Amino acid sequence: MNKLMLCAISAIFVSGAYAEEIPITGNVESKCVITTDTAGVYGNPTPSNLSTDPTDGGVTPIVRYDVSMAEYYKALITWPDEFSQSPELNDTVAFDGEVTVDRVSIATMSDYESAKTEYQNSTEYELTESGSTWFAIESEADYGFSKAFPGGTYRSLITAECIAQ
Amino acid sequence: MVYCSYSYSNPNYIYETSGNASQDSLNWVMSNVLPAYTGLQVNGVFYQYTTVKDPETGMVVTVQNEDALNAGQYVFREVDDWSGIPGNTIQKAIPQPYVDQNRWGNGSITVDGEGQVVDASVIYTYRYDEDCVVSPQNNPTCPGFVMPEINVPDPVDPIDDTIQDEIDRQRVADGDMIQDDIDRKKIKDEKDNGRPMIEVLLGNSNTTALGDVAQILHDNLVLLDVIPPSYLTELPSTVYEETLSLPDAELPDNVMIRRASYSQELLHEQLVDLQYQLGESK
Repeated sequence: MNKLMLCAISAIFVSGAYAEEIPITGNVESKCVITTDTAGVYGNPTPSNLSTDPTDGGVTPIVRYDVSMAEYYKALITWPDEFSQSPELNDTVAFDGEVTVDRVSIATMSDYESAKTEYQNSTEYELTESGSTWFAIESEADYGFSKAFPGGTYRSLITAECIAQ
Repeated sequence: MVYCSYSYSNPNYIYETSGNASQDSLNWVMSNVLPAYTGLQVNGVFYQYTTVKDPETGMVVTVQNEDALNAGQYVFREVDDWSGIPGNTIQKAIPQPYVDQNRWGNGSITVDGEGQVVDASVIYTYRYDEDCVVSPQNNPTCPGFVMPEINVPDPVDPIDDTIQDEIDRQRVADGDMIQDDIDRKKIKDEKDNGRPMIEVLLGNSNTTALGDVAQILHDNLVLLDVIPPSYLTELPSTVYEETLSLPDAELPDNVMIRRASYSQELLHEQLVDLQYQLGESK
């Protein structure tokens, strides 16, 4: 009986009240845009080596960060440590890489290189200036102990992130 | 002077980029960089260079173009301060508000301090109206456009007209005769003005367009019995039909008429012969 009464009261209460949900919408445009400037190509200077170094016949990939708000973002770039596509490999592959500031739109961005932080295969840059910064990412892979890579297509991925501080 | 209307279309802009102005030197002449197109406007400067320097030293690099129309000023100037930082490659894109070509003076990359600029590249983006390149008269927006004018010759002064001069000369030569004609015509007109014109008076009776004064004059003339009564008789508005009719379409020859004609011919011949007979009798 109590339960019924409660239900009735509750129903009356609900029907007598009026509530409305008012939406709030906001769009935040990204103040940090990442653009692939140059796609990389692996060169194959030796049978056991793949390299993006132009001296090895490769093309160094370049990524550009456009930041409209200074000191709000940091760039996190990770060079690959595995192939995303490759023939079947039955031996270990040793990956190596390096991220450097290739070009800047403001001279003071040249300090980014000396202030970068490296850990594992990742490199972080504090984007303390608004403008564009080009980062070059070198990637190199050695197969086994001077073992020839099997023929086929090899692909790997660089991860470039813009992280709000 | 008459100005004719002129229709034109929107500018037909072509956008292009120059070559590397600093390819051979860090000082360049713009006439060797931009084509000499009428109405060319620069809308952007892209430059890139690499600095080779000690991070501890001071170095300021300036990329600039002199203002050709204002001595001592620059139409474009960008300064990069590399002091206390390591060298690197810098790349900039500087938009320009469609600055006319004639303002772009000599360009240069200057270095203040210790360090070197290598691998410099300065590229200008520009636009021009394709129609203006062909001819400034193709569009009123083109520099150097001159509003076309059509010069219509002023009317010739009759005094200077040779034909009119001849007419005047002839008129002077015949002046006496013409004056006599004018005098005679004037006298005749005065006489005519004194005569009542019966046609006008009759016209008054047939129109109501005349005023009251004319109507009174008309009535007075009727009372004076100047106008024949038959002029005032109105003809009935009717149609007069044909009353004669022929019984048939064939008309027989009139014998009486032929006889009369023959007898007249005989009489004519007798009269002609008679003159000869009279001559013989003499």
